[in-house]
Amino acid sequence: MKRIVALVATLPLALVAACGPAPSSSSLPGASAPASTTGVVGGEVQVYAPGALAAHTDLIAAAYAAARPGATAAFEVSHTPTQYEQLKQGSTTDVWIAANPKLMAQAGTDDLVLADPSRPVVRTKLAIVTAPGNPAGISSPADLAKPGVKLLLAEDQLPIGMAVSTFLQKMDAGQPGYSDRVKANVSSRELGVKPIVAKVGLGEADAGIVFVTDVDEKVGVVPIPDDVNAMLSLEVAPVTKADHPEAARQFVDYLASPQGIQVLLDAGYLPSE
Amino acid sequence: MRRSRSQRWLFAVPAALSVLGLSVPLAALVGRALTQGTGHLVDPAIGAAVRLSLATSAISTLVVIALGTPLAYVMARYRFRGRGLVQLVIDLPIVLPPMVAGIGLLMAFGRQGLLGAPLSVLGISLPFTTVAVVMAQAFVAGPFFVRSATIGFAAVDRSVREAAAVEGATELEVFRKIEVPLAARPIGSGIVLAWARAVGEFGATIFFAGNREGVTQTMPLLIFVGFETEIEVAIALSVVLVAMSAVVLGVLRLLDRPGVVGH
Repeated sequence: MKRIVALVATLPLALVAACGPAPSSSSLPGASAPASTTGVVGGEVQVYAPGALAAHTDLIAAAYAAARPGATAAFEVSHTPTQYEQLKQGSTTDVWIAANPKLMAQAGTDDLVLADPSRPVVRTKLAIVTAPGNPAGISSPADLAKPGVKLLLAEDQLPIGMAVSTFLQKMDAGQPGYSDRVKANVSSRELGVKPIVAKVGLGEADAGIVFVTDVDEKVGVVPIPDDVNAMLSLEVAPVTKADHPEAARQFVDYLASPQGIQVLLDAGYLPSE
Repeated sequence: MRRSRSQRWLFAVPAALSVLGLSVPLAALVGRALTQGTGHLVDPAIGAAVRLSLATSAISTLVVIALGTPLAYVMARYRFRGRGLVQLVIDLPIVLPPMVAGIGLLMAFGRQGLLGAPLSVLGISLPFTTVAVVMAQAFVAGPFFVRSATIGFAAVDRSVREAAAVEGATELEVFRKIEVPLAARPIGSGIVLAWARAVGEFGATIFFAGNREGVTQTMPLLIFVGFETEIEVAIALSVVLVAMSAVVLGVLRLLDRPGVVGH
């Protein structure tokens, strides 16, 4: 018990030592712990992640624990605008991964995140998912405008909703009135990608538009051509008021490194620009 | 008569703290809304959500009264095999998270569901409709009414009923002229509880009925969407919901005063 207390007590000092001259650190036995020499901080880092990463947080956590022994990452998945609001209300989570570069920039301006080290990680893009058996016979984006198709889209202001708006605008350029016909088919504005995949997978709706990285084996996938598709960039930054600032920096460094990015590329994400 | 020594503060202080705990969040909400002004109330989605919430919660409360009253009567009067199981079925929706109710409704009435599949053959599809909103509200709100009404019926004095029966009254006459008037107050508070639960319903609705302006987007859903997108809209609508609920609860309390109904 005593040993644990001593270890916990020396940890902050080791951090201070890494940042600058530590006051009388030599007088404490064990102050020169390995942590200060390797720069690796054990313990847990708390990460806010967007819905666009929901299906892959376990994957990132496993890869991170393997790459940085003794370190673990715990994820809280929610909508990027919600998390922005939570940061504004004083959340002391360690790292924010945002699916909206504008909100990330705003958070930097508001001094909620350390914007300078905010870095692009990967991108994802849109795809159409269809119900089991594809009852509405969807084989291209044009089919979404057929009368009677039961379609699920996300709320406009979510990252997925904004990407869909971009896609609809691009389609309008080639097929005037496309977005109006598509919107007439919308059964519900879902609050995220996962509910769309789940409800289409259950066959409650004929089709939905989601990120290609969110599909599961229950739904069919119809690709959206790149010229009309919309890209979503994921960025990561340490939170200014992080409970564990050093662990936050270490996680951000890992996720934005070629090694961290490769984990997500293998999962189907696209390299950032 | 000797009064026991007053120790009112023993109860008054914790009671005051409780009132504070209940009122501070509401006061903060109203305060914030006042500073931001009423500009956000003009959003057309707000009007649509208020109308939809009032209509669906009224209909679902009527459905709950129509279906729940006979059930409450049966639970209070009859002894039968499996009664404990029925009681469990009545109580479970109170305990379960509403999302569970939403998923259950989807499994039962969804297009591929237990009952939804045969219905869809007939061309009837319930998910993502206003009917689905009412079903979700009635499912989660019903048990509150049934529990309260059951207690009301069970408390009706047996001798009164038996006297009426001796006079030749049929069971339906006894029910209408004796049971319901004597149980009016618990039934009334059951109605209030059920309406309150229905108007605040969120979890089951979002799963089963979805979120579409004017069709299934009730006030709680719009508040949630607002929090994701524009916090000012969420705050404005929250205050509208608080005020609306306070008015309805106030009116129902007036009706519940002795001499107005029943006693």
